[in-house]
Amino acid sequence: MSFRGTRRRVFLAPVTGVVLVLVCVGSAFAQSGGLVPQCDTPAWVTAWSPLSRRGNLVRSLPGIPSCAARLLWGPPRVGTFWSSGNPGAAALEINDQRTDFEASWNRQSGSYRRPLDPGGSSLPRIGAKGWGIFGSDGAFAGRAMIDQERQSPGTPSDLNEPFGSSPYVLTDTSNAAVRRTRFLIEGVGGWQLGDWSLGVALGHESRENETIESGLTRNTRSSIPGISVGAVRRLGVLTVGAHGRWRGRAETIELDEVAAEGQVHDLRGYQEIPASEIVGNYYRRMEERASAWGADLSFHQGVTRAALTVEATHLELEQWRAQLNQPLKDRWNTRGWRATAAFRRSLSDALLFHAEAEYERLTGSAKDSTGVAFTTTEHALKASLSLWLRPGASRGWTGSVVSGLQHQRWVRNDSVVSLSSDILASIPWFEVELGRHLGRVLLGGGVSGLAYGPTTTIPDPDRGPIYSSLIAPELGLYSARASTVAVIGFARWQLSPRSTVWGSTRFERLAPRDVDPNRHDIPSGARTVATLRAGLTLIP
Amino acid sequence: MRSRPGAFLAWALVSSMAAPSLLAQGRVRLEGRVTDATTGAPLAHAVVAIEGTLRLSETGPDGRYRLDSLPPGPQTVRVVLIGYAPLRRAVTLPTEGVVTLDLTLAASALQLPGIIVTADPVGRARGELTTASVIEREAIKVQAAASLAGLLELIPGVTLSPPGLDGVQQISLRSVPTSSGGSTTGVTAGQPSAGALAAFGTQIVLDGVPVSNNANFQSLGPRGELGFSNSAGGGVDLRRFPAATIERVEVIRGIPSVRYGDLTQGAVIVDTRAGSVAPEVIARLDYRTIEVSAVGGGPVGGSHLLSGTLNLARTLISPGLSSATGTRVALQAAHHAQWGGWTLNSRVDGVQTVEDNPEREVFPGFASKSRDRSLRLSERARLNLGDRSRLEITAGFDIGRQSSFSQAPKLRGAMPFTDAITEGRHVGKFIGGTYSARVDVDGAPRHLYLRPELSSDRDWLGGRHALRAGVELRREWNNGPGVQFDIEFPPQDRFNGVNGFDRPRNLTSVPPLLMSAIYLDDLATWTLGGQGYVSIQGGLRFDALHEGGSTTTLRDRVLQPRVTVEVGPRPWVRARLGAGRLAKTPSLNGLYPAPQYYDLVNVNYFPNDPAERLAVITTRILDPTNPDLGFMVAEHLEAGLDLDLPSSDFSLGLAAFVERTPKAIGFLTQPLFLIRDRFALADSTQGTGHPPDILEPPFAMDTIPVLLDRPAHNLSVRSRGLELTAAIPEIPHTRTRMLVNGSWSRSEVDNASILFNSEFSNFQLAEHIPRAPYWNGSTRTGERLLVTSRLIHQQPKIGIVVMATIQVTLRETRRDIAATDTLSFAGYITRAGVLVPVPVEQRGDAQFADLHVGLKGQRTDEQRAPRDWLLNLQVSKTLPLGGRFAFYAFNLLDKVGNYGDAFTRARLFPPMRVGVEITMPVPLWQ
Repeated sequence: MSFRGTRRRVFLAPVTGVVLVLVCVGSAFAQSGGLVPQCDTPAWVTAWSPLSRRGNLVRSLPGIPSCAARLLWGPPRVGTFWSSGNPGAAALEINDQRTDFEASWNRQSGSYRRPLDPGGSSLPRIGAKGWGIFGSDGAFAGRAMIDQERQSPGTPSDLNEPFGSSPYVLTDTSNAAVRRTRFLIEGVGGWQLGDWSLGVALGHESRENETIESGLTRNTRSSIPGISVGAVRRLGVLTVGAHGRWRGRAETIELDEVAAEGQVHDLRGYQEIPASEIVGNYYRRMEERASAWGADLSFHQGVTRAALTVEATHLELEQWRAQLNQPLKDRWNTRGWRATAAFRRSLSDALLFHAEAEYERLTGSAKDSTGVAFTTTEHALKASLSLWLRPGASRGWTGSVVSGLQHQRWVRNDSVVSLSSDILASIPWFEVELGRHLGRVLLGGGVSGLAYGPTTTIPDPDRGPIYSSLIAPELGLYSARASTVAVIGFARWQLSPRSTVWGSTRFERLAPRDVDPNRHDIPSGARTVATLRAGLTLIP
Repeated sequence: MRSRPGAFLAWALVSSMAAPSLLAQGRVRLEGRVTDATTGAPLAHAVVAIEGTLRLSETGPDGRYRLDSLPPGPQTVRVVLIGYAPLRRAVTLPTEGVVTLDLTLAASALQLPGIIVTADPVGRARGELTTASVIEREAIKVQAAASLAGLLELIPGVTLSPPGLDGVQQISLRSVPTSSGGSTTGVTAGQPSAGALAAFGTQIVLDGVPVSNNANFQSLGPRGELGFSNSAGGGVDLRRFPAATIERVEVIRGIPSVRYGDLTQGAVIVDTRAGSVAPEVIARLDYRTIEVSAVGGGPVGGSHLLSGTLNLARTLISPGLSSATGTRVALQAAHHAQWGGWTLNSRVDGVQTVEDNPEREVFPGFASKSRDRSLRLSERARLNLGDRSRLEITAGFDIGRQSSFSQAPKLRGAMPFTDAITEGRHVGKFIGGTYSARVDVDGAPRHLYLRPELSSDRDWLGGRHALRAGVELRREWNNGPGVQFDIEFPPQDRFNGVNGFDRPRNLTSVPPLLMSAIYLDDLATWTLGGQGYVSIQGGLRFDALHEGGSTTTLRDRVLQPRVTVEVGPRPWVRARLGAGRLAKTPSLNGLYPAPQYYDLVNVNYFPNDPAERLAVITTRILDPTNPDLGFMVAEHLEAGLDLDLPSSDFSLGLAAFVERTPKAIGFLTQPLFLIRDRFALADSTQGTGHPPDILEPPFAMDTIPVLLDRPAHNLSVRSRGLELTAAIPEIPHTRTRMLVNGSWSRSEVDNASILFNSEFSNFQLAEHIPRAPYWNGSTRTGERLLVTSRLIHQQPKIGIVVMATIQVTLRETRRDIAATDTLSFAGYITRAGVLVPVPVEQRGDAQFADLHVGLKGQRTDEQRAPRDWLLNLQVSKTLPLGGRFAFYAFNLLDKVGNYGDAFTRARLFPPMRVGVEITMPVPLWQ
C-alpha cells in the first residue's frame, strides 16, 4: 500500500458570527451555485424541476451559491411546491401569473481550476419561464432554455458532469475547442380536487458537445428525462404530501480518429490507469437512473409560512464501452437521504425574514467485474438566513441581506489501490443588495463574499503521471483555502403595469489564499466569471 | 377587422384552396353555428366551405351557416375569419338529410379542443376516391419538420428521422428497402433497390404542377469512385420543400386517378401557404439546424391577393466530425386574381439547396459540394363555364441549375494513358503517382409542363358524375455542360478496366424527353337506399413517349386504365376496391446514358529513361443506349375499409395492396469483346534517348472481354402489404387521445441480369485464362412491420398540445436469394465474350473445376433487425402576443438501438435531436 496522505487543518475564517448560528432551516438550492454557469434563477423558482439531481453530490468550485440579482425576483416563496418541489401542491400555491423571457451571456476564465474544468468558456443563453393558473382548479409552470457554450482549446473532459459522485470519468488527448449545446424544457401541471391536490412534472434536458476542427473528434451527447408526481392534502393550516421523482440519463461519447491519433484516459477512482490507444474510434455509453420519494409538510398561517421535506434517494449507473450488448458493465450505485426546510415570516410591513436549508447524505459503491472497487460517503449542508427590507415597495429604497453557510464532506475510498481522501469544508458566505426606485426605474447593486476553509486528507499527489496531472490537482484545489468576492449591478424598468424589462451584471472572482508554495498540486492564479443578463417580464 | 365583408374573403378562400374540384352533389344539408371559443359569442361573416367543392356559406349575425346539396362521404369543413385561426373539421356526410355541426374559432388553433395534429386517419385527397392521407397545417406546425420529408412521417410505413437537411430526402411509398442495391462484386453495375425505384416512381405535385427529376444528370454513374449528395436517378429531393411554408399535403397512397401520370407509386400533392395568410415569422433552432421562415399575404386592392414566403435553413450535417453543411434558400411569390371570368393563380418559386463539404485543415484534399437551384413559374387559370363546368389550364416552366463537384487525393500505379476522346489508335504516355482528382458535374435541367383540363358535373344514369378530361404535355431537357474533369487526373484511380469509364460529356447534345398524355376520368356517385351510396372513379389514360423530342416519332406508349369502387352502406362504413396501371418514363440519363470508353493497350514499353518509353493505345467507344427502353409500367390492386364512428370519434382505416412492376429499369450487364492489336518494336535497345518505332502490321491480335452496363427493363419489383390507421377516442377527463398507424409490407426485386465475380478483372487481362464463370441474377427482398402510435394531450385553456410518438419496429428483414456456393455458377464466358450455359447436372464435372468458385457479395443469410422502438416528443404552446412556442425532440431518450448479435442486422438509431420553434405573428394586413 503506497498511502502517504497529507493532513491539513485550516480554521474557519472569522467572517461573521451570524453564520455560526445557522441551523437546519431553509430550502433547497436546487441548482449548483457559484462559478458554475448554470445558475440563473433563484432556487425557489425551479424547485419543482423534475430534472434536479438526486443521489449525486456534484463537487463545484468554491463559488457563491447565488447567481441572480435577488431584488429583481423578490423574497423566496415558501411552501410544499415552491420550497420542496412537490408538483402536487402546484394548484394550491400558484395563484398568480408570470412569464419571463431572458437572454444572458457568461464568460469564465482563469487558471485556478481543476484539470477537467475548461480553460475558458463563453456561454450565451436564451430562455423563458413562467407560471400561471387555468380554470378554477388548475395551475402550471414551465421553463425552456437553450444555451451554447464554447470552451477554449485544451479541455480534456469528455463527460458533461465529470465532478459527480461516480468514480468513472473519461478524458482524452483531444485538445480542440469544444462546442456544447444544451436544450432544456420542463413543465408542471397541478389540479385541485377538494382538499386534495395532485400534480405531475415532466422535463427533458439534452446536451450535445462536439470538438471544433479537430483531427481527433469527440462527440458527447446526453439525454436526461425526468418526471415527478405528487399529491398533497390540506389539513387546516397544515398541508401534508408525498412525492416521487425519477430522472434518467443516457450519455454517449464517441471519439473518431479522423486525421489524428489519440488516447483515452479511463479514470476510475484513484487508480493510475495507463492511457489506451484509440484504434479508429472509441465508444462509451452510460445510463443512469435516479429516483427519490419523500414526504412533505408545510404550514401557512397569516404571515408565516414553513415547509419541510424528507426524501430517500437512490441512483444506479451502468457504463460499457463497446457497441454490442456487452454483459460486463461497470456499475455505480448510491443510496442516501435528503431534507430541506424553509421558513418565511413578515416581521412588519417593511421587513421580511427568510431562512432555508438543505441537507443531503449519500453512500455509494462502484462495482466492476472484480467486485466493489470504490466507495464514498458524502454529505452537504447548505443553509442561509435572509432579511428583506421593503421587498414589495415601488418607491424609495429596498434591500436584502443574506448570510449563509455550506458544510460539505466527501470521504472517498478506492479499495483497488487502498487510497482514501477525506475533504471537509465549511464555507460561510454573505450577500448584500440594495436598490432604489427612481420613478418607474429600479437601480441597484450588491456585493457578496465567501471564505472556503477545508480540512483534508488526500493521497500523495506524485503517484504517477495520470494521477498527478488529472486527479491530484483537483484534490489539491479542494485542500486549499480560498475566497470569492462578487459584485452585482442591476436595473429594472417598468414599461407598463404588465411588462417590465430588466438587466443585470455580475462579476465574481475566486482566488486561493495562504497557499503553501511547496504544494505543486494546487493550481495557481484565479478564476473569474462575468455575467450579463437581460429580460422581459410579463405579468398579465 | 373581424367584420370584414365576407364576399371577398369567400372568393379568397376558394382561390386559396388549391385545385378545388367539382364533386358530385347530393341531397344532404350541413348547418350549424360558428362561435368564439373563449366568449361563446356568435361570429358573423365567417366563411364556411367544403374543401374540394365550390360550396361555401357566410355566417349571419347570429353565427349561423347553411350549406346545401353536398356530396356524401368524408368531407372537410373549412372555416375562415380574419383574426381567428383557420379551422378544419372532418365530417362524414350521409347521402341525404340534415347534419348539424357547430364550430368554434379561437385566435390560436391550440386553444381549440380536438384539433387534428396528425394525418387524418381516413382522409381523402381532393377529387380522389382512393386511399390517402391528408396532413393539414395544424399537424404541420406540431410536427416541427424541416422539409416535406418530415411531414410524410405521419403516413403509415415511414420511419422516423431527425429533422434537418442532412442528406438527400426521398419518399418511397408502399415499399421496403431491399439490400443496398450497390455493386456487390465491384465488376457489374449496382442495381437500384426497391426503395429507390419507389422514390423514382412517386409523383410530387407542387401547387398543382408536377415536379420532375427526370433530367437530373448529377451522377458519376454506377461505378463512380468519387461522390456527392444528389438525387439523380431517384425521386425529387424533398429538401426543396420547406415544411414551414406548406399549407396542406395529400398523400395518395392507393391508386391515383388518371389525372396523375408519370408515376409507378402514389402521388404527394403539396399546397404551399398562399392567398390570405396572416403574416408570421417562424424561427427554428436545434443542435444542427437553424431555420427562419416568413410567410404572409393578403388583398392588395381590387380583387388581387398577393402573398410571399421566404425560408432560410442551414444544417450542420456531422458537427465535430466534418464541416459539411446543408443549406436552403426558398422564395415564393403567389398572386391570385380574378380577370373577366377567369380565376388566375400565378406562382414564382425559387429554391436553392446546397450540400457543402469543404476541405478541412485536418483532412486535406477531400471536398465535395452539390448545389441545386430551381426557378419555377407556374400558372393555374380557371374559367367557370356555367354552374357545373369549368376549364382549368395548368402550366409550369422549371429552370434548374445543378452543379456538383468532388475532389479527393488519389494514388495510382504507373500505367499507359491516353486522353483521346475519339476512337482509334493513339500514342499515349505513362502516368502514375499521387494526384488530386476533381470532377465537376453541371446540369441545367428544364421542365415545361402544360395541362388543359375540362371538368363538369352531370346527372346521368341515376347518379351524379364529376367528369374530368385533359391533355398533358411535358418536355424535359438539360442544357448543362455536363461532366467535366481533367482526363489525365480522372476521378477514378482505376482509369481503365472491365467496364470502361466516362470521359467528359456535354449534355447539350442529349435529346429532350417529350411525353404527351390524354385522359378521361369520371367520379360517379349513386345513392343506395336511404343512407348508403356507391361511388366509382374510373378513368383511362394514354401516355406517349416521343423519340428525340419530336411529337411525330413514337418511342413507346402505354394505356393506363384505373378504377376504384367505394361502397358506403352506412355513413360510418366504407369499403373500397381499386385496380389500375401506372406508368413512368425513364430518366433522361437512362434513355441516353454516357458512352463508355475502353483504352486497349497495344504497346506497353517502359524502360528506365522516360524519354524512351512508349505507350500505344487504341480507344474504343461503346454506346450503352438501349433503344428498347420505355415506360416502366406498374400494376396495382388495392382494397380498403374505413370505419368512422361519429358518435365516439373512433375511426379506422385498413388497406391491403399488391403492386407489381414487371419491367422496372436497372442495368443489364452485356458481355462483349474487343479485338486488340499487338505490335512488335522495331528496336528495343535502351539508351537511344527516344522511344522506339512499332512494326506494322501487328504481329498478333487477342480478344479483350468487356462488360457493358446498359439501362434496361431487367428488374421486376413486387410489393404487397397491409396498412392500418386508427384514431382512438379521447380518454374521458384526460384530454388525451391516440392515433395509431401500422404498416406491414414486403418488397422483392428480381434481377434478370447476369453477375460476375470480382475475379473477372483478372480474366480480362490474363490471356491464359480461357473462361470465367457467371451467375444468374439474384432476388433481393425486404420486409418491415412498423407501428407508430401518437399520444396527444391537449389543454386548450392554456394552449398546450403535447404529442408523444412511439415507433416500434416489430420486424425488419433483408435477404438476397441467390445461389452462391461453388457449384452455383450458371455458365461461363469465353474470351470472345460468348456466354456458355452449363447444365446443373454437369457443373460438378472435373472439366469445370476452374469455375468452382463461390459468388461473393450476396447477402443470402436473412438479416433480421431486432425489435426496437423510438420515442419522439413535440410540445406546442401559445405565447403572449399571439405567438407560438414548440419544442421537439427526436429520439428523446437517445436510444442507440439494439445492436443485435452476429446473426442479426444491427439497427443504429440516429442520435437524439432536440430543438425549439417560435412563431410570431407580424401585424401587416390585420
